[in-house]
Parts: sequence; C-alpha cells; structure tokens
Amino acid sequence: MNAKMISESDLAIELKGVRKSFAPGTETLKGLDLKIQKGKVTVIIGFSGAGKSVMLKHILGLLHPDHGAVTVFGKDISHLNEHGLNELRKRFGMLFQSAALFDDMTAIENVSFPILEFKRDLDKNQVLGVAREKLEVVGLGVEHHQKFPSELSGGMRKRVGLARALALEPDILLYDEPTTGLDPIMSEMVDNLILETHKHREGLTTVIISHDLPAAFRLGDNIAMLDSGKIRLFGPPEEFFKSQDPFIQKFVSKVKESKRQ
Amino acid sequence: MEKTLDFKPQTLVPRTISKLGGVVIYGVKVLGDMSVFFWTSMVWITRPPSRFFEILKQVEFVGNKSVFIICLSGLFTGMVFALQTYSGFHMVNADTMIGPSVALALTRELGPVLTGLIVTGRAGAAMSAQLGTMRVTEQIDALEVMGINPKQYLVMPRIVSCIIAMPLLAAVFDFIGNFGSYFLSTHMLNIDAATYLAKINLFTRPKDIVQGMVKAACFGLIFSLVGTYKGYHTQNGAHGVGQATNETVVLSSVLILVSDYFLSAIIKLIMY
Repeated sequence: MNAKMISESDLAIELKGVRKSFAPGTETLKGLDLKIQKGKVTVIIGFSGAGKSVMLKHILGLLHPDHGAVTVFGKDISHLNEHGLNELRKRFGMLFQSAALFDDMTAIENVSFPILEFKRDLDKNQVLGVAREKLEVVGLGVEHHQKFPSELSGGMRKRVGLARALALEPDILLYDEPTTGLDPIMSEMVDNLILETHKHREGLTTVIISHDLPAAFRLGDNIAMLDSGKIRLFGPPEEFFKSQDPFIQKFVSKVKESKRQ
Repeated sequence: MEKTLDFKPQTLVPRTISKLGGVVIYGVKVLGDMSVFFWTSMVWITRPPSRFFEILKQVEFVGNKSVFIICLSGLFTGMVFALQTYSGFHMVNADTMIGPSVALALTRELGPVLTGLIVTGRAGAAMSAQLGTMRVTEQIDALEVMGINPKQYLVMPRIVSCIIAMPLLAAVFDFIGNFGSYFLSTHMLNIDAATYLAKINLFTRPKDIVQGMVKAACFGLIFSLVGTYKGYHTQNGAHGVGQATNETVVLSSVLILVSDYFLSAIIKLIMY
C-alpha cells in the first residue's frame, strides 16, 4: 500500500512537511512527510544522522517543527500546551535504546511506576498485580522482579523496559533501536518479543527505529527509508525489492546478502 | 552585526575588555537561564499531582543524612573559635566575652555559611550527579515520554527540600557549635558557666538567630538550584556528569560566599 492511499481515519501519526534546524544553514529534517497507519508495524530505517531520532522526538512532542505539522490521532500536537502534550503522551509507550530504567527502582517498581502515577484509584496490591502481569507478558521470571537494573542482563532490561512501556496499555508503541548492543540471539529474542507484543494487543500501532535491516524487513508491515531529512521511500517491504533507485538497491542488497548467510 | 562578533582585538587592553565582556555576557545568560529554570520548576508546586512524599524523601536525604557531619563540623568550629578568641580576650581580661562572640559569629555567619558549604559538597554534588546520570542514561527522557513532568518530579522537590532543611541544619550547627564553645570555655579555660551563659543572653538577640535561618534558606535555594540546573542540563556522558558535579560545587560555594555579603547588608538595613 502506498502512503498516498492511506485514508485519514486509518492514520495514527502524520508528519506533514516537517522542517527542523538546530543551527543556521543546516536542516536536520527537510520537509519530511510520513503517514503511519493504525494497527500496523512501521519500521523507520536510515543511516546515522539521517534524522530518525529527531523525527521520533517530534512525534512525542519533545521537539517542535520549525515548519510543518505533526498530527497524532488527528490532533495537531504542535499547538498543544504542556498539559495537552502530557495527556497525549499517556497514549504512547516507548522502549529506549538503553531501556532507560530508573536505577533506584527494582524491575517491578519500574513497571509499577507509571501505573502508580496515572491510576491513583488502584491500591498497591492491584498495581503490583498489573505490573506482574506485564512482566509475565514479556517473559521475565518472578525471580528477577525484585532485582535492580544493574543486576539484570541487557536482554532482561529490554524486557522490563517493554513491560513498563506496556503498563498503561498504550495505543502507540515506539522502539528506539531496540536491538542495538545486543548479541544476535538476544536480538532475535527482542524482535520476536516485538512481534508477539504487537499481536497480543489488537489495534496497537508499532513504530520501530532500527539499524538492523534484515529485522526491519522481517518485522515491518511498512518501511520508511529516511535519507538526509526526507523520506526516500515508504511502503511495504516488497516495494523496496522492486525499487530501481540505486540508493534503495544498496540497502536491499544488504538484506538479500544477510538472508543468504 | 556578524562582523562585530568576529572582531578580535589585538592589543592587550581591548582584548582584556573583550574577554571580560564575554564573561559578563555568559554570566548574565546563565543567570537568565537559571531564573527561567527555577520559575518553570516552582510553578509545579501548586499543580497536581502532589509531590509531598518526594519532598519528604529529599528532606530526609538533605537534612537527616547531613546531621552527623553538621554536628561534627559544628562542634569543632565552636571549640576552635573559643580557643582562638580566648587568647585575645584574655589579654584584655575579658574572657567572658568568648560566649557572645562565638554565639554571634555562629548564629549570624558561620552557622549558615559553613552549613551551606558542607551541604553543597554532600547533597548539592549528589543532586547534580544523580540528575546528570539520569539525563545521560535517558531516564529523564523516559519520564517526559510517560507524561510526567521531570521538573515537577525531580527538580521542584529537591529545591523545596533544601529550603526547608537548611535552616534546620544551620540551627543544629549553631547549637552544637555553642555547646562545643561552652564545654571548652567552662571545663578547660576555667570560665564560670553562669557568667558565660548570662553574657550570651545579654548580647545575643532572637533576630541574630532569625538572620542566620534566613541566610541558610537562601543558601539552600542557591546550591539546590545550581545542582539541579547543572545536573538537568548535563551532556557528554560520564565526563559531563563529572563536569556538572564539579561546576555545582565550585559555583555554589562561590555564590554562597558572595551572596552572604549582600544578604548581610540587606538584613542589616531591614532588621538592625
């Protein structure tokens, strides 16, 4: 499906002509257009410095565009105040590259934290119950629940980070380079976890920023290739294989190569 | 406009003035940034959800956990001050003036200033390092993404707790310092205990103690603001955390000493 064919009601996130510059004369995002469909897995790929993280920060309202608009569930977030943005962010869950767990809290406390903050009508036992359930969904054994992040392996930290991202039943789940720094076996485990999580929750929109091309083509319903602050190609993986663009071909050949291996 | 920025004076005097101007501009910019940071953090004090327990937790960290070092420092400060003033007062046969001298110096100046410097080294540096680490490991970003305002959750409770805890710590410092001086004077320098206490009562007024408490609260505000500001804006990983901590201690200590003079002058105008 081409980006142009997606109807407005099917959209979770839309970026329209987004431009962002941090220094005079150098634009990081150069009129970026992107439509992310509800309930689909969209993977954003591109070289380092292409503007992937800046784009992600725009989606979360952590950065505002110099020009253009960012729309989440039909609402232009560029004009939202702090309160409005915080309300909107409750619909997001995010797994950071480093998992970003609070290091003074145990695994279960990390997962309980957003629930305690936003579901104040629940008592402590109910909160712990929800947190245990989320940790079970991501496959973290009970024996690890009381451990601090420094006592967990990289893969376990990602699981806890994912459980925390799922704690408030988000509508959009964002992954910022989820497999960076992990060994191939652990990377595959995290990829499978992403797919399982997506299937587990109906209607969940998943956005993954990744460097891992084979995984991107395996996970994504749609792939967006970001190049020099613009979307070079957006569509399902097949479109990438059909593309005659030498730049895209270079990426695709890497995927084919790794498949052969 | 651009050309004036590139202008580099070649002779010594203009070059010095240019450098001085640069320092002043940087100082004014940092001061402005800090004021905005303070305001945007403190507005959250009245907004829900309540951060009462975070404030209590920080009061415990800044106050309770500093009590031992404050007692130790206060005790020896009072004792050494009594010992040094004794030699002077003894020459003019005014040994009993040790009590009021120590009491006035501690309540008005030494109590709040030394407490400020000690707690800066302990709690201010820790605040900066903790927030700095949270910044470089994306924990502050994680809070923002969750829809939790990091200034309300992390910054405001730390500033409020320091404003509350510092006068209490300065009071402890004053009490223990005076006790040290009393103990040394009455047991080792053979000064009559009743006379010692009577002289303190004669020369020390409640407004001297109030002055010290006001100063301590201001110093609490200074080091907590510098610590949270530097920590919150940390960049460049572990190196940045170290740099932020270092800058917090140096800048806070200098600001405490400089502001002490201006606070003393203002208080003198208002209260004396």
